[in-house]
Amino acid sequence: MKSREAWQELEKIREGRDVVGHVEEVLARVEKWEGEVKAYISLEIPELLRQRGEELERRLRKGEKVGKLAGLLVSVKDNICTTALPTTAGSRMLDGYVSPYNATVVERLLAEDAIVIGKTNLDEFAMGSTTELSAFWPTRNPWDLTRVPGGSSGGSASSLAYGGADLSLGSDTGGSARLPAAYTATVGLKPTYGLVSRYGLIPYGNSLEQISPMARSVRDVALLLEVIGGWDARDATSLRVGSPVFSLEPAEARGQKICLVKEMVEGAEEPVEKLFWNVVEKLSSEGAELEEVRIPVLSKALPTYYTIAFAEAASNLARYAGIFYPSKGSSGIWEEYVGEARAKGFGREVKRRILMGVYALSEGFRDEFYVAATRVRRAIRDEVLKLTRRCIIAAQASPILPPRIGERLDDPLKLYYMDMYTVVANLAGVPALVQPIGFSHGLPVGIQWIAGPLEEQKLISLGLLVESLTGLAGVMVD
Amino acid sequence: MECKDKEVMEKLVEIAKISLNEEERKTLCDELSRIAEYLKAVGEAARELGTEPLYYVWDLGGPLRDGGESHRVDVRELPTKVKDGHIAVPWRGGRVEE
Repeated sequence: MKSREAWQELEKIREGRDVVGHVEEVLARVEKWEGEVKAYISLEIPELLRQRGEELERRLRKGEKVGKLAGLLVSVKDNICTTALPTTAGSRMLDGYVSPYNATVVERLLAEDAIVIGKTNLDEFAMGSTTELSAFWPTRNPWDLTRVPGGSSGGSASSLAYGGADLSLGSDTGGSARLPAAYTATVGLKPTYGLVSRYGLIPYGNSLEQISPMARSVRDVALLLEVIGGWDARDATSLRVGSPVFSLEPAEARGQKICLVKEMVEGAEEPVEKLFWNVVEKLSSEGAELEEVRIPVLSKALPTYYTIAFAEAASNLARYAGIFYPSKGSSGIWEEYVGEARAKGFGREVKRRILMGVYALSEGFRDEFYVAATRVRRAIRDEVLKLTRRCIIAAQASPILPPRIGERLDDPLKLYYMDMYTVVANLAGVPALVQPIGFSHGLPVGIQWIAGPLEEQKLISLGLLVESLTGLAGVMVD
Repeated sequence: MECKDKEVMEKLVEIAKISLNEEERKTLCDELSRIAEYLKAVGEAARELGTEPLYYVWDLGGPLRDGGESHRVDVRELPTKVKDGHIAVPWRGGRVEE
């Protein structure tokens, strides 16, 4: 096991280490691992990456001011639009599509002199929890190549876990950045809804999703969120707040109030539970106050989340009619042409979600499904806001260890069940952080922390404290 | 597991505009029946809770469940500027003064 954090690389570069040398180091990791892991859908041409490194070196030598991420290599989930590389969202529907504009988050990365190394694999349109449902290929977990890295941002997480990027952008609609973080010993932070611009994110569940920083340590996640966060005129749901600036002081365990919500703690398999309680008890022994709480409505979070996500997916994906995007039909009859383009372009899970979404929104079913789910969502949101006023919620990140490739594909409900602890933060719009807490049988296990709206600082401070206890900041495979 | 309602399935396929072959149609129909059965829990829960729908997570229109004061979203607080009663939508050519 190795350890490498992006902020350390940044300091070395500022102290005069050559950027091209750093680029070469990361490319060597890609060369070593990518053939088996398949984290990337597209990779930037190495020569262009070196040129970018040389350009930064020249500027550094001249003493010119460089950006906050100068020389760091960032991988970007392939549902985030970039002009330099294609954006497929892991779907045949967008195979070969090159966006005419960069997402706001990508513009912000480039403005801070980050180098985009490539676009990472995902479950098609971010609909999945394992990254097996990409239309191109499944991504494997670098810690155990027979297992999944979680999803849907599994490509981003795997690229970090093998050292093929310094930082990564994922997206999180129901746990898509946090579940992969838990399965790959990396860190994923789902920001407060509206803190990070969604302009240029290929939409799946608008009311739930956020572009999310991913990295190998809490400090690195904070660094990335400082760059991508803050109001954007191009996203009507973006909150009118400035770019966040975080303190990197770890929290004091003494006086820290942690709530253990039964519905988000119970039900995980034994090795996962064991590591969870180790950390919680350690914090308690150092002076943190623990409180056990029950919120019965959270037992309905998973069906509530899926009902809303299906409905929003059906609406969002209606735009793929074979006109503006690559997948086309051949029939001269309009209805058949559209049906054919969509049948060819979408994979089975996407079709399933569209059909379920249409069902949940149809006359006669809408009140029982979609509208009912929005009612339950209000209750969940209110309970979470109420609780996070007095404590940080500690929760499991996943009920299971990373499953084997193919193990859960035969039953959609088994796949959905993997998100049971992560969907709550999306329904409530609040920030949530997952970080590694240990390994069981060589497989990573993570813990989840949830705070109130715009309380990312609390998560970062607590995350830094937990890292000081576990010693797992920066870990990656050899 | 049996496909419970073929007629509904046909209607969904028509609305969703996705051509499916026979095998896909049957498998998806079975799966959708199971998923719908699972999602039914939200209908019952909503009836018990009696809460108002929430479409946008920061819509604080209804009182929070702890009886805290109610909040309203004011269009003047929205990030998009309003000019002459119209919202300027930047990606449709509307101008936004930063």
